[in-house]
Amino acid sequence: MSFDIIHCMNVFQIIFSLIIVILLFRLIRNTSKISKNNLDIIALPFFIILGLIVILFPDTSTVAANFFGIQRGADFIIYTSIIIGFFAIYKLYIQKLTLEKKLKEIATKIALLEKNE
Amino acid sequence: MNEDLLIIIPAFNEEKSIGQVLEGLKTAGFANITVVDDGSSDQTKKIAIENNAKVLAHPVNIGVGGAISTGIAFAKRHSYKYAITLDADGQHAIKDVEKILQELKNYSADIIIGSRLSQLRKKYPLKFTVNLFSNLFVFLLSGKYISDTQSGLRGLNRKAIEKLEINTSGHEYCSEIIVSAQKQKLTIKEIPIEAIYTDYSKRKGQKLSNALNIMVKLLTHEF
Repeated sequence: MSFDIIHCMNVFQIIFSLIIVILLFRLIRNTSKISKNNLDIIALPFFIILGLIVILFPDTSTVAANFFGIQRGADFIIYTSIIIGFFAIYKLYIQKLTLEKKLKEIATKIALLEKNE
Repeated sequence: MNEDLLIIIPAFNEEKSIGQVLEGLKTAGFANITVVDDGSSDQTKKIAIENNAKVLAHPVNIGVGGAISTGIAFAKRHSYKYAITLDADGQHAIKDVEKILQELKNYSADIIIGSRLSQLRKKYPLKFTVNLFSNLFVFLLSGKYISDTQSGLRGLNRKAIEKLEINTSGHEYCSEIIVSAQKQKLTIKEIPIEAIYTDYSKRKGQKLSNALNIMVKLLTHEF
């Protein structure tokens, strides 16, 4: 039984492209719910469209990699993903700490108010 | 007796020990005791009220730093001259609370910390080692070396009550207070204390694995 690699890749390309298009569509519909930050509103669709380009035209990642002095496009994607992932986690962590601080202030206010009543 | 002193006890699910701690303090003549109930789901609040303590209740569990912050805010609002914080698990001896108060009344420093250094070194080498790393970390952040940065028994005078800022809500508050004190130019003194470690207090105390989490949170807050 032969295994048609090229055909398989095309299937994956179609599936991933569909996922990305759905993601982009949902993002556009819910932009205001997802973030109020201007940078997020620009950056999220930008990276999603970038992902779509890389899936449909895999050679573009190699061109970008070569521009940064990296040989393989796949390596470039991994490095970029690590940096973006780290940044996203850090941002979420800061948001969590900010919420914790606000929650602490609210709890203190409620405790003091109840004591005064 | 001690009308100008507020004892602050942060408590989260401490029904097994809080009654005994309050009883001991009352017997020793400490009149103003505030239990900050940090969203307990057990009988902590009820037992504290039965023992005539003032109870400040958080609607949800925030963390020990949040509870201490609420207690200090209460002391500031009611113009207490001194505040002493101690753990609700019964690990602090009344004689050590009295020692801290005496140091505050002698104006020896704005913040008095009860240090368990010698006890930890002799009996709890692992806790001592982790504490040492915490101390070095706080030294790097604040420029002040404290031998027991994680001690829950601390005394504050009016100046410290007014000036200290606690932004963190978990155990990292212990270190944050020292960093904040240095920024506010508050003086700190340590006095040796003897902690009473029971199986219960060991279980309720800080987990050693929490040290890394505390360091990350402090770094994030400072930078």
